Amino acid sequence: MIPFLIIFKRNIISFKKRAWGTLISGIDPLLFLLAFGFGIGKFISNVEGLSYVEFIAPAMVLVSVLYGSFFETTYNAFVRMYYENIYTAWLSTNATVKDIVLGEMLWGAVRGTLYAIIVIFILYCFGLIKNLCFLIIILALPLFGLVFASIGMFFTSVVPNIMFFDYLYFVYINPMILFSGTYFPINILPVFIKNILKALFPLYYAVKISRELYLSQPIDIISIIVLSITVVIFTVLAIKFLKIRLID
Amino acid sequence: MSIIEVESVIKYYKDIKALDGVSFSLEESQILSLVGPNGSGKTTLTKIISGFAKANSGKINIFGQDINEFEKIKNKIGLVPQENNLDQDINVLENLIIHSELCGLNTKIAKERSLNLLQKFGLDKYKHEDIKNLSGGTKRKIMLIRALLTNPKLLILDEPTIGLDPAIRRQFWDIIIDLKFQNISTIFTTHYMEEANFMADEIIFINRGKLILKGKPQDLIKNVLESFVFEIKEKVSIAGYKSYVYENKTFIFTPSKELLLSNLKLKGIEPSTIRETTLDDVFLYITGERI
Repeated sequence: MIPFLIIFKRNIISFKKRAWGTLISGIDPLLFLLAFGFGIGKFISNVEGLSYVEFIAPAMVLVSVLYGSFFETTYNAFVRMYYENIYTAWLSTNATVKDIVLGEMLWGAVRGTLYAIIVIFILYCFGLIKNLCFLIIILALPLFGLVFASIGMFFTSVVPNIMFFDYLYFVYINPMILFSGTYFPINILPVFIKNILKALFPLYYAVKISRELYLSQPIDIISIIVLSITVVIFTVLAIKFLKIRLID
Repeated sequence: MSIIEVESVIKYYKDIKALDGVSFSLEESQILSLVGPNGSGKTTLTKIISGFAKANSGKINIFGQDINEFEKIKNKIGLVPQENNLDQDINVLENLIIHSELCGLNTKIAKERSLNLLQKFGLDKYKHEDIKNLSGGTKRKIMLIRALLTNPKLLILDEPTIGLDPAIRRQFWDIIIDLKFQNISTIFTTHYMEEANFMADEIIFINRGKLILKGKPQDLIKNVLESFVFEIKEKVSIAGYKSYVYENKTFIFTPSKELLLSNLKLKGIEPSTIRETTLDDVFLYITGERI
């Protein structure tokens, strides 16, 4: 078996031992859905022709992917690398830094996908999935997961300590969740601000695809290209910087 | 045949010279010990020969292969680093199987070999145990088992018994010596002189990044100092004897206790201790520093 698949397998073995605890930590987007969608949403007549809860529902699927993938490849991966020194054990085998990055990313993407499937199931139970074609998104979830996992692995390769992820959450992840067209359409913002947000936050493209599928609209291929390029760039950077970090 | 050949290796960490022109070799089925105080460069050296650090200059060959081609020889080397790097999230057997698979073994062989080694080391009762429940000594043994999974020809151990109690440390020594008779060469770092003396065929003293002395344990004392040392609780000078002063104590070395004792009596000096010379004395005599 290819080393990165063995690292992926190791992560599954570890996940199986604490699956419930891990999955429960992914319910945050559901809380947002309840509070914003069913709470604040009562006071908002419609957004782009949808009820507010329908507007944010497809975005919450993506926020859950982000949570699962990003937090797996930041906090959890950092603990494995820095506190448990497991990466040094893996590097003493046939595994390379590339295998570690790919194995961790793949697992991060799968974890994000699992979170999103739970959210999709709950959306279905609430009657928020009127068009079953939306379920096609499940096929795209691993790609979205890889986007956030690659960004997570990049930050893991460069941050000086685990506290840094807290700052990162406040200055990057939280703004990304708020300003990627998740809770309101960013078209209402000035063009240059919108362009900055689009350049900084890949979640925007993922949410766009999700909403297009939700509304049975054709998918903008540009979004898929941008997300794919994001994966490649951050994977290459993560490998480069992790190599510097682990082999001095 | 030399398993490791290190020639004039220099390593900087920013402006600090961690290794300063170190050269040595390790022969087949030999146990070599790198002895030095903390920060002497011994861990840096093991990191370089295990592929985790790159030298700034110098030449290193392992199994006749240049260190830059490390990937080709990785599976012939078993590594036990100083820190515990067992996977805390999975149990002992899973740790060993995942490691074996990462080394290229298929799952069936990986499991067989892991169970065999656990049994051989008397640790099969821990196979389903979580790592966090193991004692320090058992963790070190599991790390050694993990290093042996690929049937390596070379073991690199960085402070293998640090923090272990004397009985477990002694067990560990016996295991390493036993491996030598299975044609496994070992290089290990330590700052326990007793450990180096017991296990090593050759000892290298390393201090401030420099190799300062190399030889067989018994020869190091013979070639540098004499068989006995007199400790005197004041600064004295006796002509014709090797000696040094450390922390206001004088250490005088002699091949004959009787002769020195009579010389000291003539001067009215009473030694506080008379004992056999140790490798610690040799290190202190050469470097002026304790390990």
